[in-house]
Amino acid sequence: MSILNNQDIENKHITVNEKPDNRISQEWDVVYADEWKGEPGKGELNEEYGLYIERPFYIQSAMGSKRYLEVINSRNMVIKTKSTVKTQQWWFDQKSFTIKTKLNNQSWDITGGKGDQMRIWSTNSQWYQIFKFNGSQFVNVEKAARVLDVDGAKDEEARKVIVKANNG
Amino acid sequence: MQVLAVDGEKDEEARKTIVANNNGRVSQKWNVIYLDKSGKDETKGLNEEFGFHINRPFYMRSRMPMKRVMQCHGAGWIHLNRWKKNRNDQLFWFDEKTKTVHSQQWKNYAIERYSNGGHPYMRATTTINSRWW
Repeated sequence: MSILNNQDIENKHITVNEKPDNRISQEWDVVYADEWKGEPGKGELNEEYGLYIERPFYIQSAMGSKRYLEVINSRNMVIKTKSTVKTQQWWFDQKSFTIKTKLNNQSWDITGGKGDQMRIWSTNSQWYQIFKFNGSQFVNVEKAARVLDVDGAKDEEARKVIVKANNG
Repeated sequence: MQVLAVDGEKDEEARKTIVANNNGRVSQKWNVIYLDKSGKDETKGLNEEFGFHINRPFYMRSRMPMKRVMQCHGAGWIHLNRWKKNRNDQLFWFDEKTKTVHSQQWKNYAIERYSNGGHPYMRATTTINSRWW
């Protein structure tokens, strides 16, 4: 069984494909109701995503100056010196599985799935908006598993933030 | 040599049996089950061949990022939807007797491939014939 057009979208028809093609849209888990407590609620840890639900947080770069992730011009993500502005505050939304800004509740977005620039955008929960935190890196859910990265590894004010192949 | 066989190799209710040339296919193979060994139909536990626990409600959850689950829509089409607490139309159970997967909301509906398998969409139906679709 598969999902129509391989799209992870609400109300998509369940279909049967003639040939398996190893896409994740054909993969399912049978989860018995008496063993599953359901999705975690507000304030609880989503273990798969590594983040607490609706609990605001900052994101600090591990580079020398320990700058914070910030959104500038209400759009682009950069690193800047710590402040208390909402543009540096983020929260994890269980409904969309996206990380949102406290500024206007838009979600992280890899420029609509094209390129590598990180920005905030209206929430659509497509693959280019979904990241998991593994304790030290924010990893995109696409197969390439690109991670959040400071462009050119330059620890400077307002340096843009991108996604890049994991270099550890 | 001719052997007992299911006509046309069709695994359907009330299908006639015939004798045919031996081709070694499953439609010509049988088990003899003695009454004193047959026992009752299982009502719980794992059916290893089908991979489901019998009569035990379950979700079918996609491995795509949103982890949506299958949901019966009005005892008809089956769609992908976000999990919601206490929704029986997102739960299914395996029926050992018919070897089909049923909706927990509409318990006499089994899931099938629409149009006797001729259409790729999945739906729920009360016409349970345990055919391949």
